[in-house]
Amino acid sequence: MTTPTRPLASEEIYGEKWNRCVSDTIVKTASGLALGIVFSAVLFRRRPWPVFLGTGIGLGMGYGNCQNEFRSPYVPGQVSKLATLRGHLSPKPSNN
Amino acid sequence: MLRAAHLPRAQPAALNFLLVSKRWQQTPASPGSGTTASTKSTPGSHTTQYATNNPASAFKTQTAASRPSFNAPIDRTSNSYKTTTSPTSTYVPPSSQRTNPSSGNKSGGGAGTLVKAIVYGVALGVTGTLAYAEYENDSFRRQLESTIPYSATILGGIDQVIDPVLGRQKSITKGITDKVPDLAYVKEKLPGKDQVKKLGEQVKDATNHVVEKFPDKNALKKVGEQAKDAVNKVTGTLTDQSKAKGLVHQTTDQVKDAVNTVREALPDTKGLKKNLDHVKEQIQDAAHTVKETVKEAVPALPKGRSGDSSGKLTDPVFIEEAGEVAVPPPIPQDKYKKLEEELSQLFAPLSTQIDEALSAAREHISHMKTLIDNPHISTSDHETWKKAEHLQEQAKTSYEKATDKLREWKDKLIEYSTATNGQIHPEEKKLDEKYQELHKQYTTSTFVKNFRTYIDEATKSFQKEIETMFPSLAGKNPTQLTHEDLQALLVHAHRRVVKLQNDMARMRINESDSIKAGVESARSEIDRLVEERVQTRVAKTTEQLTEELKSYEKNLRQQFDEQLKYEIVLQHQALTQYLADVLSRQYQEWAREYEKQLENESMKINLNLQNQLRSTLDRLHAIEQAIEANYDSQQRGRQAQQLWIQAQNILNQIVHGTTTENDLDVISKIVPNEKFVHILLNELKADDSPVTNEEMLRERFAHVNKLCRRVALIDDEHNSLWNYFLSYLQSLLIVRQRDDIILTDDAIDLNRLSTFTILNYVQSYLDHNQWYNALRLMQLLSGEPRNVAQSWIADTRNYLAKKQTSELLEAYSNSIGLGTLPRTA
Repeated sequence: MTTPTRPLASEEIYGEKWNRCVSDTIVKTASGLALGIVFSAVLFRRRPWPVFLGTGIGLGMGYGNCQNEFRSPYVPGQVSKLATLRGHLSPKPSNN
Repeated sequence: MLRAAHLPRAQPAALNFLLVSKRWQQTPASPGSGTTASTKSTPGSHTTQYATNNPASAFKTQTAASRPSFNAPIDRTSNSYKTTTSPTSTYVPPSSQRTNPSSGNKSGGGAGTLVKAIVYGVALGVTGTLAYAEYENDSFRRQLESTIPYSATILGGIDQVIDPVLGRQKSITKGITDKVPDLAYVKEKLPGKDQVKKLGEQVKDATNHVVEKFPDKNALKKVGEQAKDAVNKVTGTLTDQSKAKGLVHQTTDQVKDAVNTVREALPDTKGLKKNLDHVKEQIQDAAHTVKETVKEAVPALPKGRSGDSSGKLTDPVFIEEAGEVAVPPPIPQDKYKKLEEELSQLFAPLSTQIDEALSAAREHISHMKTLIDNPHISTSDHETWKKAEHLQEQAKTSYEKATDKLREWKDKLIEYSTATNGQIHPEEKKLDEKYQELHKQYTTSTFVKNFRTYIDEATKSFQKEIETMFPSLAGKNPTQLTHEDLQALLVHAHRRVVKLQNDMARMRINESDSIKAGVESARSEIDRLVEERVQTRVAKTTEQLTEELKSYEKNLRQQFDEQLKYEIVLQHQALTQYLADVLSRQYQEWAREYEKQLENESMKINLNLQNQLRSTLDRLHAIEQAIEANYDSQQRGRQAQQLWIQAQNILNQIVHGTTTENDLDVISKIVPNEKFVHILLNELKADDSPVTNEEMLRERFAHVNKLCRRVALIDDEHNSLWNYFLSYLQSLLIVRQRDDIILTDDAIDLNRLSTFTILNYVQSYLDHNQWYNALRLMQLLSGEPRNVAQSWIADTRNYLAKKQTSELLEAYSNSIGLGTLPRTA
């Protein structure tokens, strides 16, 4: 495992990205679902379509987020949010 | 030129196109089109000036309204173009233009050029002549100086500049002419002896003339004949008895008259003396004139100073002028003045006295004359006779006084004349004249004094005669005379007259003889005197003149000598100076030469010594260095050994583990002086990349490999999740070839690389421990796999760098060690 001070290696970023992506998607879907349920329950008289809508919205948002994240240009030594959360501060000076 | 970046905002496209087309047309390749363009843009502006303001402005006006932003660049460019092209374009028309005004100017300028040409020609001629004159310095220059008035000054000025440059000096000897100054003209002007003699002869002639004027025989003869006539008359009128006595008396009177006239006609010795004096005066005058002429002939040169130019005497020899002519020293002024005063003082009373005497004498004479003339004089008239005597006495006394005074005067005059060397007092003449007259009168008066006695004697003698001859008649009265008495008386008278005639003739003869003798003697005397005087005067003047000439000559000679001496001295000085100059220069030259030689020699010796010294020192140094090197080499050998050990240590650590600071420090302790080692160590120390070793990298590569396969299809763009899914699918499907054929041919075909092939290759390289190749190939990845493998690549690179450094260190230590190995021959 990486030590907290070491910046992320590039291959690990990929993994990190995937982690974030999936987790984010799950969260969004769940929240969409929940909201859908809530909305359907509250506003739309328990019709099923807000649930699906919400779920879809959540999924879609998650998917889009994922996609965007993967599309973002790769900067060597890029500090991901999670890395900053872990305490990796200064990016390594590039040796390339 | 084309500001493509700044496109105009609202542009009519046609205008834009026009602009562009124009710009293209105005390229320098086509001046003709440029002219057309310019003509297009500037109709009728050809006749304007060279400057391109008009066309530019015309252009401006065309485009000003619509294109504010372009104006400046356009104009500038167009200006530049216009300026470059319009000269070419307007060369043809304005050249014709320019020729027109220039041709217009030419006619006006033709005259100007003509004037210029003339001025130049004249200036050239003048400078040419001056230069030639200056250069030639001889006849041409002298000619020029003589003809043109101010050329001498100009040439002199130029001389002052040029002579020091060329080293010319006005030769002194050239200035002096060879001709001795001509003194002949001075001599010519002197009246020669001949002239003086001529003057003497003139004087002689004058005296002769005077002498000739003396009454000669003719006059005497006339007088005698007069007397004869008188006697004849008497005989003719013999019949007249009553007038016999009267006749006798008359005859006696007439005889007396004749005697008087004879006496008067006699050479008047006083007059002679006067004439002589006159002649003397003439001589004196002549001598004076001679002297004057002499004085005039010899120019009165003032005493000159050496600086003055000789103006009066054009004598080039002398700078100084001759001194004064040896004029006879002037009379000491006081004596002269004194004498003159005395003389003038004496003159007045003397003249009055003389006048007195003269008047007295005249009176006496007149009285006597009246007495004589009066036929009825009788001896009984005592009063008159007494008066006459008294008068005579007066005259005598006054005469004596006058003579005394005159003698005094004469003495003074002689003194004066000797003092003034012959100058005549002006009043002398008058006085002389007066004296002459006085003398004359006085002699006549003395002569006349005896008249009475003569008369008495005459009457007495006559009476006696009559008594003796005719005693009978004596007692009778005149009325009682008979005819025979009268006849006897007549006969007697006739006989007397004859006797008197004879006497007169005898006397005449005697007189003439005596006169002749007197004249002769006087003449001879005069001649002698004149001659004497002339001689003396001539001698004196000639003496004087010769003296003067001699002195003048001497003076001239002296001056000449002085001048010569002076010039010689100058030349001598110049020569000595020149010699000194030459000598000093020679000395300097030789001194310099010898010094140079000396310097050369000394330098050579110096250099030799230095060379020897250097060579010995070098040898010494070499020996020392050899020893040190030996020592050094030994030491280094030891160091190298240690270094090698340590380097190996480091290498191992790098490869397999981590390096610690201690190791690096140990090395720095081993070789504190090696710069190369230091650099390498610094590099190693500074390398703060994460510590890795080979195994870790390999592991990571396996991971990276897997990931790269999974994202092989992802590029830099257009990443979507679907692509990710597809690439994952692909990675599952592609199978890795496990052949080692991949590496049989070292040449990898770079055109057919894909991610998978690269990864395969790299895997095989890593299997064969060819890290460098693996790294190179890994860098050929592109897209997302590259991003994934980026850090692995970096880390691998760093690791390899470190390894390289440590290998270098080891190699270096090896090299040192090799260097210190003992050399085998």
